[in-house]
Amino acid sequence: MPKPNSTIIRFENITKEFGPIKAVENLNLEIHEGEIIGLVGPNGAGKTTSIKMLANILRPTRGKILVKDDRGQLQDIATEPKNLLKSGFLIDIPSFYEGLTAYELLKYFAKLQKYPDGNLEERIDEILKMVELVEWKHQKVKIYSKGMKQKLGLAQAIIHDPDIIVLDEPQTGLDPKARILVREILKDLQSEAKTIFLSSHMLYEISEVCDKIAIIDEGKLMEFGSIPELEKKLRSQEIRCELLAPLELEHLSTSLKELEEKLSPYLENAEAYTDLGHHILYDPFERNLKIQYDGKPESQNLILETLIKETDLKIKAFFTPKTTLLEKIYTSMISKKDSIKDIDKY
Amino acid sequence: MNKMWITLLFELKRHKGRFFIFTIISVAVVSLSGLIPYFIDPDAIPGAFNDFAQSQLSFINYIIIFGACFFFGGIIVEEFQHKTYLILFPKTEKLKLIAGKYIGNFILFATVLSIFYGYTAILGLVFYQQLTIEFLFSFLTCIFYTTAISTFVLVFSSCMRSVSSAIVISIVFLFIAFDMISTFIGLAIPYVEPIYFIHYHASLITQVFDFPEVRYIEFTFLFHMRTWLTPTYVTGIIVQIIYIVFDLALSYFIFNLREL
Repeated sequence: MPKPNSTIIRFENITKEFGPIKAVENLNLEIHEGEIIGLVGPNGAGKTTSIKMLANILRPTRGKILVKDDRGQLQDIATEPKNLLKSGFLIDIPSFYEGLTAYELLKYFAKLQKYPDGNLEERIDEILKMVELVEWKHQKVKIYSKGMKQKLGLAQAIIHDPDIIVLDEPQTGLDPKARILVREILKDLQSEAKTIFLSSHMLYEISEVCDKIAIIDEGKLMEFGSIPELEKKLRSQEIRCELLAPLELEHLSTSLKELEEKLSPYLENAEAYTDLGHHILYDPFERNLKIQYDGKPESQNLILETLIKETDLKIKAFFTPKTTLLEKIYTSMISKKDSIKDIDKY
Repeated sequence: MNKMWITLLFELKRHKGRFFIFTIISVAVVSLSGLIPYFIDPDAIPGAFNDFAQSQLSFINYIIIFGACFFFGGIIVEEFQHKTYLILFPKTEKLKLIAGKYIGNFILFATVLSIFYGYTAILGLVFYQQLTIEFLFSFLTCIFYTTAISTFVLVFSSCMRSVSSAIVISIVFLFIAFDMISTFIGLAIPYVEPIYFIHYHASLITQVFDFPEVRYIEFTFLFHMRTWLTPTYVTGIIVQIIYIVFDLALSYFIFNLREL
């Protein structure tokens, strides 16, 4: 629960037009201190434009963006851009002066953002170690791979230890190991009570680290809230149940039918996986049962109880996959909007 | 430390390669035109220091224009072309960043020109055991003219899409387009002095050694024509100040409008 008056960034009726195209339309968003907010949306939804306006690189056509100053007052960045200097930004795929080394660049960036000279050398080493580029410290950036540049981009965003960190697709171009590394860095920053505003296509990454999700499409904010809050707007939710022993494939349809009957009180209002009304699917490779239930918190416990007491299934794990949920929320919100648009055609 | 100062120091370090290349070119030009002829035939060099300096400086306009295009052509446009602005603009005020870059590059290029003049001065001391006040005036005029040319190039840097196009367009204007236009105007209205062309004022750098009483040459070949040699000092200073102020204002205006 955010503290009162803890708003650190506020988008107020932000609209950005490029000629006849509305890249962002009437965006209202409030970010509190210490929160990690994920901005999710398809390509061209207005994520990068919103972040560029927050960085004061693009001017909004209408509305204003307020950022907290040193006295705790929210100030318009158009008139008080210096309030942004305590923030760190990674926008788009980062580009650097290629003839310089990571050390030279980070030193310059840190000095620009008034990081104390006395601790600068240690800070550069610390950050390069954090992003696993310390061995490349004195190599010119022109020989870096795309992923290394992306990691250096993250390093420059946090080199001056900012309170607000704004990251646009920080995991673009990274291999799975580096993605895990970035996720860990974000979690560390979260533990230091930094405020992070993050856009990404990678729903898993978002669901793992973000407190709240803003879903944006065609420049409009479709939904904003925590995953459980957004989840309430859906009629159903998925549970995964990992089994120790596989189900016998010969009797699979019978077993699933029996299981559906036993769990039917909790599946009635849920969306089905198939047109035939199946609420339970079995993945033989993963030894996984997927159960689409009514989304009520108490139903989760009752389903688990039923599985344990009334079946002979050996359960290894029982959980709600966040990614699937976020994917479901995301596709539901986007497709809801598309269907409204389709209705408008007629 | 002031952000403009930080950027200035950073630029000095970043462009040291370019600085060394132009320094080598300058030293080579002075050596080829002043030192080597002396070794080939010591009597071939001019009889007086001012004549020697004037002949040495006949190439300096080329160095100024090429140098200005390379040092100042990328100042604004490189940020947009390579998208480095996405990292830098949120960190500092745009004006401080560009001012730091401009002054840093100006210091480097002015140092190159100082080396050119310094080397010429050393040769003058060796050959003639003297330097003249006109040589100092020429140096000051050269730095002033370089300021005007650099701001002219900065305008192209603010509105072009790539560094190379800013450099090429600046060179085309300063070497070809202005010459062609001034030739046509000279034919059409020979009595009008082409003070409005920035490159015309470069002549002050060399004319300062022996300022002509009549500032033009007239001749008739099919048409009656007049070739202007140099503006007056006052005109030169006023026009170049106008160029500097106008170009800086225009560059800043375009740069501020630019949203990518």
